[in-house]
Amino acid sequence: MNNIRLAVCRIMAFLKRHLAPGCLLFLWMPQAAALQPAHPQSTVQSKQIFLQSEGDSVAAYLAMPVESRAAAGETRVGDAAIIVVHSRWGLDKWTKRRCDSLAAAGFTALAPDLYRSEVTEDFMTAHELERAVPQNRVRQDLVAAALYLRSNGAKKTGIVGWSMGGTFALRMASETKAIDACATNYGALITTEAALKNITVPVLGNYAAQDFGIDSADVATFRNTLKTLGKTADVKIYPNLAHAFASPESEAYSDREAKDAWQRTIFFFRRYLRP
Amino acid sequence: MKKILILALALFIALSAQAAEKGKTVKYKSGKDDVSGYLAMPEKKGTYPAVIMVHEWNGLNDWVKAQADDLASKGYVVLAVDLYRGKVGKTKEEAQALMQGLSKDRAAEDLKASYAYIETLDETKGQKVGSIGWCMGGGYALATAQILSEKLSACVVCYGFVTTDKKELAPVKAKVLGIFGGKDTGIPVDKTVKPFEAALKENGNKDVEIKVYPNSGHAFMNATNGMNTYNEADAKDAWAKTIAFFGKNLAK
Repeated sequence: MNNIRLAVCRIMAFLKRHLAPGCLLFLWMPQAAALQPAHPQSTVQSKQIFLQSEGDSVAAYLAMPVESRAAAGETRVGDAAIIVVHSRWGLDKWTKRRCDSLAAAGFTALAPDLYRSEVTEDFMTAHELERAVPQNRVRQDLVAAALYLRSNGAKKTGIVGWSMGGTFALRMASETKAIDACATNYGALITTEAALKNITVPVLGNYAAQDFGIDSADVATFRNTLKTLGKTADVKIYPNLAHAFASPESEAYSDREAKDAWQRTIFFFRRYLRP
Repeated sequence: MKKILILALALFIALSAQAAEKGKTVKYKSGKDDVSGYLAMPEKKGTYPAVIMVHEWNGLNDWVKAQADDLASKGYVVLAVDLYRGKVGKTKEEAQALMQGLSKDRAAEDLKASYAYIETLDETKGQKVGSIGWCMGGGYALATAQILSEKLSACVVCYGFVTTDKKELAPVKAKVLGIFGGKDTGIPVDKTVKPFEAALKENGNKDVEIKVYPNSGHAFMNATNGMNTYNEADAKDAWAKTIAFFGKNLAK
C-alpha cells in the first residue's frame, strides 16, 4: 500500500514539474467539476461536504492529499484522518488553510462548521456565537465527523483545535471513544483525575505561559497528572507567549513558535495515526 | 506633595470600597485546592436560607459583590463563588480569556465545594439552598442545579447559556426561574429559551418560570457590563422577581 502511495506521489510530482496545472485538473476529470485545488499547483484537493448529525445537515470542509483521491471515483479518505475544530471565530479561511496544510502532509482533514455558516472577525459577535453554540450539538457534530471519516476509509482519526476548538478537542478525548489522538492548542484544561482517567488516546498540548485565562501552573499540573496516570502526553508551555499565539490575526501571534507548535502537531499525528 | 495627595486619595478609595462591602472573603477547600468566595450575611444573627452566586465572564468583581450584599440584606446567606480563583477580567479581552480558559470539570468541583462550605455554617442550619448567576454564571447556576440535584431548592438563571437536552436537564430538581432578554442574540428565544422550558416541563419540572424581556439584550441587569445593554426598568423588575422567587422557594 505504501509503495503504491509512493509511486502515485512520484508520478504526481513528475506531472507537476512537467505539466501546467490545468493539465493536472484534466487528469482528475471525473470529479473536476466538484473539486477545487487549494493552491493552483498543490497536491491537495478540497471541497465542501455535508455530515448527518442527529437530523442536522452540517457543512464541513474536507481537504485531502491527491493520492487518496486518485484511485477512487467516490470520496474515499486515506488511512489517517484528522478532525479540525475551528476556534470561536467560526470556520474561517485560516482554519481551512490548516486543513490544507494537514492534507499536504498526507492526512485527510475535515473541519465541521459548528456555527452553521456564521463566521466573524468581530470580537463581540464571536462572543455571541460562542455562547449560542449548544455544547451537546458540538459533540454530536464532532462524532458525526469521526463517523464520516471512518465510514469513508479512515483507519485512525485524530482531532486538533485551537482555543475554543482545543477545548472541544480535549473533551472529545475524555468523553468519547471516537478518536485516536488529540492535539489541543491553548484550549481549556481538564483538571479532575476522574475526567483525565477517561482519556485513553495520546494527547499533545501547546500552551502559553502568559495565557491570562489558563494558568501555567495548572498546565503543569495537567501534564504531571497525565504522566502519573500513565497517559501518553506531550504538553509544551511556551514561555513569554499569550493565548492565541498561533493565530496570525491575534495580537499575540508569534511566527516562530506558531510554526514550532504546528510542526509538533504534524509529527504527533504522523507518530500516532500512521500505521 | 503630589505623591502624598495621590496616596491619600488611594487610601480613601480603598477604605471607602472596604466600607461599601458588607461581606467578607472566606476560604475553603475544593478537593485538594484552596479556593475562596465572598460571603455576605444579614446583619441580624439567626439562620437563613443560602444562595450560591456565580459571577459573569469578568469574574468575582464589585458588581457581583454588591448583588451579594443586596440579596443578603433581604435575608439570605450569600456565597459568591470565585471560579477564576483570584483573577478578575478588567477588559472584555481578559474576560474572554478567563471564560475560554475555565476548566469545566474544575468549576463543577468548586460548585460542589461551595455547597459543602455552606453546609458547615451555623447560619444556614436546616435551611434551603438556591443558586443564581448571570451570563456565564447563569449557565453555572444551572450547572449547580444539575450537580446538586435535589439538594438545591431554587435556581435563577439570568441570561445564561442553557442546554435544551432533556437528559442533561433530568437531574434538575430545583424550582427554576429563567430571566432572558428578547434581543439577546447569544440566547435566541425560539431556539434556546423555549426548548429549555419545554424540556424542563417534560422532565416533570412543571413550575419553571420563564420571563423574557422583549426590549432587552444580553446582560441587561448590569449597569457596568460595558456593552451598553443595561435596561434599568427591566433590571429592577428582574431583580424584584428574583427576590420574590427566592422568597417563595427558599424562605418557605
